[in-house]
Amino acid sequence: MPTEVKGLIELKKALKDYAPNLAAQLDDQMGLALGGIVKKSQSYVPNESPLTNWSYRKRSEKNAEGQRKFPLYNSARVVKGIQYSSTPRKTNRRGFKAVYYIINKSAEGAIYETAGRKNPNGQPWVGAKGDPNDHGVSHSNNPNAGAQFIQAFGQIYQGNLESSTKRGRYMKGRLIFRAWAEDGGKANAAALTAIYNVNELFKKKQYFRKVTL
Amino acid sequence: MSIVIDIAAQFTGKKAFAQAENAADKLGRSVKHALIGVGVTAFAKSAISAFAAQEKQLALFGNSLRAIGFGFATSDSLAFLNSLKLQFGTLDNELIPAYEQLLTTTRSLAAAQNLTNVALDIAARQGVSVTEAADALSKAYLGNTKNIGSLRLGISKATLDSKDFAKILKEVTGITKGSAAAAADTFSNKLARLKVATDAAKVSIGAGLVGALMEISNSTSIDQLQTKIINFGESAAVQLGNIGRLISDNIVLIKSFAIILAAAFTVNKIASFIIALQAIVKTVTQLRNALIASAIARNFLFSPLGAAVMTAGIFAAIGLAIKGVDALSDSATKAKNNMSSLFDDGSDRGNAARAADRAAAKEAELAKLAKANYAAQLKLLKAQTKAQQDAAKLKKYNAIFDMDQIQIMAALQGKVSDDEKLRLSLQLALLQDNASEAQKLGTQLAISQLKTTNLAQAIANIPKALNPFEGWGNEIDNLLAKMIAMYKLLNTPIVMNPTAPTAATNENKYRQIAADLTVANVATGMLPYGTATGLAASSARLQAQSDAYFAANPNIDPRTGVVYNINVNGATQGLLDELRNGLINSSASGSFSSINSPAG
Repeated sequence: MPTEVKGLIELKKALKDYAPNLAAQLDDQMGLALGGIVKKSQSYVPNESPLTNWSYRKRSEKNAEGQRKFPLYNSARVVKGIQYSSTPRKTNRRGFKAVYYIINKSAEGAIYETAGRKNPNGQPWVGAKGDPNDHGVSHSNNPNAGAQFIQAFGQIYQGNLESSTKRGRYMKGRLIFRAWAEDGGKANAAALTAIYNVNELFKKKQYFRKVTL
Repeated sequence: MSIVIDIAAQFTGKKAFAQAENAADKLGRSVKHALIGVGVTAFAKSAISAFAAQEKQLALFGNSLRAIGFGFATSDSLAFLNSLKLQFGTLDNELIPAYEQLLTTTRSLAAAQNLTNVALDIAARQGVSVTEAADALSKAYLGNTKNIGSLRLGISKATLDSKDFAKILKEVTGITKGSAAAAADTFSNKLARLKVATDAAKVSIGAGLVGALMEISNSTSIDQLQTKIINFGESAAVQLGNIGRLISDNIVLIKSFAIILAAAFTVNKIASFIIALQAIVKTVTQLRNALIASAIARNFLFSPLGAAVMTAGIFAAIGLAIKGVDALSDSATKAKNNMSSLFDDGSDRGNAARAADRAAAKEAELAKLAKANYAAQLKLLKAQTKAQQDAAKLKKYNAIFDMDQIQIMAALQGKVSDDEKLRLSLQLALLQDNASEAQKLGTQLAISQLKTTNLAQAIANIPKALNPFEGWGNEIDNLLAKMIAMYKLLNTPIVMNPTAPTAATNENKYRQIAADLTVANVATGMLPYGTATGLAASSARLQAQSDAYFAANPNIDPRTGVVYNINVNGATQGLLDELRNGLINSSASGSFSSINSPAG
């Protein structure tokens, strides 16, 4: 579970309407708190493709059906895709709306982050004869392609956090999850402290407004 | 796909919950719609129509049973059909004709009920109506197997051709048994069962409504009542329309009223609230007038049936509102009077706000002035301090040429005592107008003088040295007199005739000693009749022995044990008397010789 802060959305709205300075302060403090994780995560992005030829393709980017092919590795795009955001997301299926979060946007970044979570030795191999629409199996000519792909990425780290929807192996990764695990909860504590402090300041501000009016 | 790590989230509710809430809202709206306005009319019509239809159907069913000689079994048959209806969700309009047909064909209640159950199974299995199934069974019972064959139940052609109803029924039962029960557990059939229950309730409500409404409206027939109810529904719809129109006509006032109320409760200034209160009163008064002028007048035209209740409720609410507004008006007037001393013009909120702004501006201006004054005072003080420092410096340099000071300085450089030095320094400080130094030196000088004065006084007050032999003359004389008396006494022969104490006295004395010692011993923790008494008795006995001994030996000092041997030869009582008289005479004469005489 992420930390549930009751009334956070209302606080943000109130700050925006009545105390824009405090809203900016909160964003700055959250940026400071979570920016470290983002920077650290970005530092774990390999400069070169972990696999040769993952960053280059001779043919078109789209297949015969016009669909996007498997994404190519681009370290700059991966780095750029790791961000901190304070824009609330849509409510997830468990009813939680993430207000502050760190996101790995790029497809190749997500692949590098999570490859090997479910199948540490790659997906079951069926080769080219299998159903091409079945994405749960390996269609490569090389039966060890999946295992080699994952081995090239290196160790996957267990992040010491839980999601509102997923847990266990779904909390493993090589970029953000690794940075989060190594941070040891300091960033989380700093973020929550920032929210608490701004809330207290806002309450004081309201109090003074009442008195001085 | 992107990877998201939530840091802080808020629970905003599940989508499913929202859907459920929406569904509940829709249901609520439907119920509301069903119960108010046109919905009331429709529901009432539906319920009464259902009641009427069922009553008609039951009457026909009773007639049919009576026609075939089963009039006595009408209530039992209805109870059986009701149980089937609720169990399998089949409506009366299917079940009653089927049962009726089967009973007419078989002329047996048991057979008819059994075949009705089979018909329900066939209907459930093949998806046909119960009436169709019952019709096929009836015909098969009479030897016509065409219909039962056309139901495609899978009955063998030989069985059908045999036209043996028992065989056919056995095969049909084997094929379809349990179908109705299984179908009853399906969701759609559960809904059908609910519908049956709802219809039953509707019929019951209809029956109750009809009874009640006929009573109220003095209707003599259902048709008459139905007409009146439809008229009531239309009237209610018209009145609801009137209320909607009223709100629509006064929407501006209502909106402004709501805005003012919101302003009154969100603004924290009491003054603004009171002023807003007046605006509320004004608006509500207008609203009230509008209500009275338009809506209330129209509501008076309601028809007496049902709508009168609604009118009464509206009037009660309006009456309360008017009372509240009047009370509010009084409060607002009082508040305004109280406020008149605080604000120039409390007629509206804008003036109050402007007054508050002016007060704030004035306060700020005063604060600014006070700050400026303080700065000016501080500046002046600093200038004065600097001027004093300068004057002191100038005076210091002028002092170099002061002859008095020169002389004092010269004196100070010479050999002077500490006290003189202090005096000179003090004089110098006084000449130089150095207050702090003068105070310091003056204090030191006073202390020095005080010390000197105290010493002289102390010396003066020292007492004379005491004579260590003072007072000795009398003591020595007394001593010598005693020694002489003793000497004289010793030279006088004395015969001792001690008087023995009485036994009774001694006995009492030693008993008392023993008793006292016992008490003392008990006080030290000894047993009262053991150790304490024994020890006390021993002590008393020893005391008695001691007394007896010293009584028998008076020349022994009982304290020191020294033995005094006094030998008085020939002394008698007469001699003693003579000796005493001689001593008295000598003392009375005051002759020194007589005092020092060895004889006398």
